[in-house]
Amino acid sequence: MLHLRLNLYNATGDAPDDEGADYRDMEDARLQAIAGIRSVLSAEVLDGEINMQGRLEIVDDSGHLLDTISFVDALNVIPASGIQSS
Amino acid sequence: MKHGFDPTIMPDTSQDLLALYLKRLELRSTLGSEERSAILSLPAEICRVDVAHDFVRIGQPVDHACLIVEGLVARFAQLRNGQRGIVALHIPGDMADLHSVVAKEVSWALHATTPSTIARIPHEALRELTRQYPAIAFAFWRDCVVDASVLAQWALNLSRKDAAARVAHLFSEMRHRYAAIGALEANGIPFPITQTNLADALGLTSIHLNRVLKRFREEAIAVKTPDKVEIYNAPRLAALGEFDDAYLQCLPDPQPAS
Repeated sequence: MLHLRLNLYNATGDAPDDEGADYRDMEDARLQAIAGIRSVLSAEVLDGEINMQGRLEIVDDSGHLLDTISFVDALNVIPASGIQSS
Repeated sequence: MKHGFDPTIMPDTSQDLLALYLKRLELRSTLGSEERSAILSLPAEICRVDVAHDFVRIGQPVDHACLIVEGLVARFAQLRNGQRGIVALHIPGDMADLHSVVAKEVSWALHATTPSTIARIPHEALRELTRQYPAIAFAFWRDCVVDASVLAQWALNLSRKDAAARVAHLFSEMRHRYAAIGALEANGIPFPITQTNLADALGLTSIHLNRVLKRFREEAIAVKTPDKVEIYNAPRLAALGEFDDAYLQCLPDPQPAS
């Protein structure tokens, strides 16, 4: 198990993960990070505005940066111009 | 020992710990002296439970109900793929699975969120009390109705409220429930639950919860620490969560423990 912190940075400010949590491995942490980003963005969608300028950093208890996931990498957005008209 | 709850003090005898449950029952039911004595005389096996294992497993036939004496216990439901979700939180004085007296094969697991102490009360002893004392049977029934009412409110919160409102509602609920056992402190409540488990109980990811907690901290509404919630603005918390204590059914207004 790895004890890691998932720190969020986006337009509303920084939200450091002071407590952290246990993850099976880095892949598990990445999957949880992506799920977290998507849940934050889904709440923004419900409020009518989505801001993709954010990232989530995975760090260990010593503060070493292990990975960064940007919001744009957590979501596949299909632009409206890509819709084929019938 | 007085019957108010001090989270740092363990009850001295089984009468003391059963007094925790009697206090909860008497919040909503009227019992006579003979009925009170009968409850305080129930047999109880005291056990320490850790955070690594379910102390009641899904599908396990049980012959006892679990009274929470000290700590905090979560009730979990589970999907076929093993994913779990917290569907109830139980504090000292709660009989977490009183329903198991009539439904022996449980469909929920019980798991401590912090090292906790429970008292196992044999089903047969509980059944015998209900045969002898109809008022106790009614009080047990009433107690199960309260748990069902809380569960219904949680379902509404999950289906109709945003993240901030869910957190605010749960903190308000726990403030009322801890106050009813005399554990409300001047600036908050004991609430020994990890952020991961708290997020689970709220149907949120821990990342999303973290952002809400940061907002509450910055706006001086409430601060969650590993073992407690410091509450600085209870009216704001209640307003944010659209909290109305009616579903808790006759709990007194919160007063800090003296």
